[in-house]
Amino acid sequence: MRLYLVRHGKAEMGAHDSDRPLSARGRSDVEAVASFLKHQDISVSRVVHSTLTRARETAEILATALAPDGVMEEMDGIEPWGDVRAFVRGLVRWDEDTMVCGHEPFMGETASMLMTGRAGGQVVTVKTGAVMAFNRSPFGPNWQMRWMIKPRLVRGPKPDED
Amino acid sequence: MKLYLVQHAAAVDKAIHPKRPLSETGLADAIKMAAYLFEADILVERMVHSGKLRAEETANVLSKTVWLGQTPHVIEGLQPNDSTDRLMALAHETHGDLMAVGHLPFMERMVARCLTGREDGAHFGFEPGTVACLERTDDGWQLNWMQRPTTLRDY
Repeated sequence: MRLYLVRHGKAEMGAHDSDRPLSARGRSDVEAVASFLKHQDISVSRVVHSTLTRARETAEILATALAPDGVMEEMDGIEPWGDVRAFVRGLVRWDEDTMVCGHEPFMGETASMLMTGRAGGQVVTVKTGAVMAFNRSPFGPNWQMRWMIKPRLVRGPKPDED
Repeated sequence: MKLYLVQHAAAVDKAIHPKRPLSETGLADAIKMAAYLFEADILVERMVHSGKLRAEETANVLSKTVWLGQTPHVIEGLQPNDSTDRLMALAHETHGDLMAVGHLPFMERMVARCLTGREDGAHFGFEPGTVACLERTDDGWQLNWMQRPTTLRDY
């Protein structure tokens, strides 16, 4: 089974954190990543997102490109403050190739947990719009990271950035 | 400072050629990866490899886009079962970005050591031609991205 962990694209500022939509830049970042992955023939059967607007909008863009026949569902517990251990335990029951759109530090901690068995330690830098691909090893409960991309790699640098 | 760890691309079997140059697939994979690195605007300040032909050939192809086509250096301490101490020391004394082309299991041990302090501390699915980008910050090493040729359909 393949698992893709995604951090939402850059979002607008707003009064209510849960309602912040993607910014124009965030939208075009996620579109660039989605079109890159589509071009590489990557597809999923399920796209899951948190209850926050910026994660749902990110999921919509990715689902359109990578899961045309798939289902999109909202999930509790993967918000920035979600319980990483509970989420990772729940993965045992998953068997479809799934993309999960969420937040930092949750996604980075989940990635660390999958790769090292510990949620802390900050072993990965997850920029907005980044996607991490994992494979569940057929030989045990271990997950392996297969690849990871971020918008900057597939759309080039913005002139006033980096 | 960024450290790019690369496993050489697929090589022919020893029975076909004792020095094991890159296979046709391996060469095509290295070229795809070089194109990906070019599009991603990656440039390094130093490139090293293990001295084995498959690592040297991979390094030469990647150098075309990430090191202005200069000839990568051979260094000690990048053999498949070498200790990671030497590369770790080199990474610490290098200020600019460094790319090292070598072998398994060395590269997986090196990634795990940077990220967790233990060579068996993390699980990474390297395959021939994979590139992992690590960055050293004030908080230590972190993985920035990772790419493998089989994900790059055509580039």
